[in-house]
Amino acid sequence: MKQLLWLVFVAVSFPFAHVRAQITEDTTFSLDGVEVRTGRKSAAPVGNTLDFIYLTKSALLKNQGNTFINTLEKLPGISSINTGVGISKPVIRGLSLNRVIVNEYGIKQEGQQWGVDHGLEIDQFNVDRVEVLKGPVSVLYGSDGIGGVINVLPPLIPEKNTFGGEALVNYKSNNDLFSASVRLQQNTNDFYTIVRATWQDYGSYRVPADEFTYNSYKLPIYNRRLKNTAGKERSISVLNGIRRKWGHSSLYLSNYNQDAGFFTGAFGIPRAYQLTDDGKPRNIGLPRQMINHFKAVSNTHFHFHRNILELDLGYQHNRRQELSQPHAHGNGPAPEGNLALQLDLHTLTGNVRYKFHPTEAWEVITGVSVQHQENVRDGYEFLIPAYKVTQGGVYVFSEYRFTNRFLISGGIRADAADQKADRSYIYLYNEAGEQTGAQQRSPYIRRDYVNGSGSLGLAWTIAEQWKLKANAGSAYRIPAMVELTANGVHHGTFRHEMGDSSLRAERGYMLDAGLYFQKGRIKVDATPFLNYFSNYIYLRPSARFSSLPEAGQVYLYTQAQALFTGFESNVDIEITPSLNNRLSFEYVWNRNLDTRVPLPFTPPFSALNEIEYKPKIFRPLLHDLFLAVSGQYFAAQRRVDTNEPETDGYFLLHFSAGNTFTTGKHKLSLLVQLRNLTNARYLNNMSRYRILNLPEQGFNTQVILRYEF
Amino acid sequence: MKYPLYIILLFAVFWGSCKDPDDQPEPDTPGVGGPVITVTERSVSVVTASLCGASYDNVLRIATGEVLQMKIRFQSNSVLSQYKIDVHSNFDCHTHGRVVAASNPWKLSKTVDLAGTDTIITEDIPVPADASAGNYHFMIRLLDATGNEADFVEYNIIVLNPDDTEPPVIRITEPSRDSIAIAAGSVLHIESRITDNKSLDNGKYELTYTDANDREYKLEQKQFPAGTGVAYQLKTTYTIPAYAVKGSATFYVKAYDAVNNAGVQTFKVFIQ
Repeated sequence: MKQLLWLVFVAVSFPFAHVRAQITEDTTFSLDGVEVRTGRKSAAPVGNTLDFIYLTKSALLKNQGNTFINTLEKLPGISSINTGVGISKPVIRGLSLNRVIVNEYGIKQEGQQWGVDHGLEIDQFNVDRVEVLKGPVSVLYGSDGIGGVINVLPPLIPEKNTFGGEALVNYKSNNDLFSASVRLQQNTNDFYTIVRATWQDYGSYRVPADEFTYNSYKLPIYNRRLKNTAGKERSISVLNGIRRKWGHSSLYLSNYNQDAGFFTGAFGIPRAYQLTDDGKPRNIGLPRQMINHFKAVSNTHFHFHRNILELDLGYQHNRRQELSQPHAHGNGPAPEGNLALQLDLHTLTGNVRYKFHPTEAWEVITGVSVQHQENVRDGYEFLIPAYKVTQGGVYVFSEYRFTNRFLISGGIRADAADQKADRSYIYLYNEAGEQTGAQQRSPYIRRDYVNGSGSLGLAWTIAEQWKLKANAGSAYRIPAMVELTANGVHHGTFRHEMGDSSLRAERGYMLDAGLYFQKGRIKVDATPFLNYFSNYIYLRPSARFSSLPEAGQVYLYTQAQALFTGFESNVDIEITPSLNNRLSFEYVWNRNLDTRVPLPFTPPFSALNEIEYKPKIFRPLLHDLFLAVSGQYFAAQRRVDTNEPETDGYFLLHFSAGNTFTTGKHKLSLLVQLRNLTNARYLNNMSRYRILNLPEQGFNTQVILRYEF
Repeated sequence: MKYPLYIILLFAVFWGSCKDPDDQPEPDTPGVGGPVITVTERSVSVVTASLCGASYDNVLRIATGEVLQMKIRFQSNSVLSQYKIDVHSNFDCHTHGRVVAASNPWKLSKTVDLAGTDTIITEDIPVPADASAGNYHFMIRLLDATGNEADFVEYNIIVLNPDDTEPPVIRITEPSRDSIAIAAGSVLHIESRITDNKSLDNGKYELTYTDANDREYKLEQKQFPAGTGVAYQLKTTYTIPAYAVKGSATFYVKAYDAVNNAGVQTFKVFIQ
């Protein structure tokens, strides 16, 4: 049925392609800064041969989803793993968790990204420019550069001797979300300051359902709102910088704070009596998570003629607190109150890069990166121990431009890492709260890793309309501490998860290509990929029960050979200068070559078609007016891992419109999105709440009002 | 030029929604030939009862010292691995807060290996003679050898103590009215007379309140000393914190007798 709907939608939109009005006005093809594949050079050197997408603030706001990652999800090849509406993590070509790097201002974000319920701690309003690269990036970024990288770039330096800013308010009807974000920027003689503060509050979100089925019991959803899914975000940042002839230098301080509730009953077995509406949809009760991410980043660039020396230094402190009522688990509750898990991760990062040009056509980048991390744990629940990790790498990356139409690039890197964790104990208490003993939960760990990785790529403009990119590379990742040491019921997934301290570093060998065609008003591209892992780490159901009372099956971190393949494709057709149709597809196929079944959390085939109309009426006032309708089809996901449920396909319809009113220096933008217009009830296999059979968010009206001066 | 392109794209749509023909058969998932638990016989019949404020139709009533017998059938398309039976108390309706050692909850956690793809077992589950009365969760889970889980089977068990099924009686004497107003920061005096038909020895009382935002706070949890007998005079004070949420709060006085029968009384306090 949903496939049919989708086909009807496509069939309706295609004939427009033939109504090509014979207007020869020369218009640009870009969608408000979305995707400037051909024009812009990537900030990452591999961007010339890898498939890369560049987005600016206006495109991000126009397509805004619930989180920064949900906004990027619209791009082919990008998806997300979500927990409700406030927590999401990036997935690139089916690779997620520690396999996707997010860099903010050159520093890798470190926030326990191994957990499916651990969201990305970035204020979506504070992203001015972002680029997404798909494919292996280990050569440049070291461990974890497997699926790709999301580079949040520093904002452009404000023009000399100017003062400006923006004020933005945002409303979402579905969860009664209000947010406000203010930015001020000043440049005095090329000393500049950019300040941003964001405030966001939302209630429990609404779903198009009155009940859901869990373990064959029907459970109520009162007032069609998922209880305790409210949240709030507070974020503040200051960027100070100086620009001179020698280059520029900046210091960025930011603090991101999130407090988000989890659906009542998500950590355990949902019970009808817990689900009764308390009449306070904005209340954040238990279970909940509280995150604070502090960051200090310094970026310095020295220019010597055409050569550049870059220095990035960063300190991050990520505090994750997961709160829930202590579950008995036979040990008796410990005295920490409701603090189930607290992880404090401190990360120091340093990157040095030198970019030079031995000849006019030859560019070389060489660099060193080091990172040191310390994690401290607290709370009555044991999942991972306190640990220390130190890692570093050296690389050389080189690009040679034979002609304007043909370039090759390649790089090699050597990495070393050291992981250390002491034995960890969990203390046992009786019903009276007296300590009765201790139980060792994770062993002493001391692991060293040495790795080499390499990449080779080419970009070739075959003919006027045809462009080819191809890459081969290896990627690597040291096992995350949780994969080595976990031993306990992870409330985030409600499973007993067990690590294996003998796991080896994960290695992948990857091939990808991109074929780009552009002629007149048609732009088509296809980017197939093939990734092979000799030892992919994942959580495997062990077929044995946990010895912990009330706990179900044990899930073991295991290594297996795995194959990932798939493609993304885009078709852009400018039907008339004011009417544009964009169609994109993405598909990921994978298989665990040891068990011969698919791997968990694989995004389904999906297609997105968007028709955008920019009517030319009242031009002085409605210069930027646009109206867009988009249809998203997600196929059923029947390729699932053992004990992972299959998920049916669905079709979502969205509408958006907006305009920017400009008078001199002042700009007022109004952006409206109507999402899930049909209020479709569907399950998403990439959602944490899928295992509870909880339907996803229903109809949502979003309004953004942005004033810039 | 354009038409072949559309055809390719349409094929891509179909490709995405079709299964690979050369794929190995995908593993079974629960509900499609995965493991299934069927309780074929029970020594106690299932009734409907209200627990924790909701109605349940999977309730078994059984007295301490009795034996619950069940015949359970385990089936799967692949070889069976293990079944697990868990019994744990649900005295506090799974808020899982800290419980003072006043009761003797019945706890059971048992894992048994299975063989074959279809088997019927008989479980004799004795309810300990000294188990506290109250409601419990009883769960049966099943795994097959590939790691597929069955939908679990759950019962709510109400354990009764055949010697005493009457809960304690609570009479609140202070505050003297059902509803009072008090300023944040000031002291609230609480007095109650708790009586029981048999004995309060080693039972306990709990004082809790929920504020205007429905957030729950635990004030006091104390065990009745041995030798308390059938009556206890509760007298305590609580200083309403200065930062307490203003508005109507509900205070609960709960008492549990020697075998864990529970009684409760409430009063309202309007915090100004």
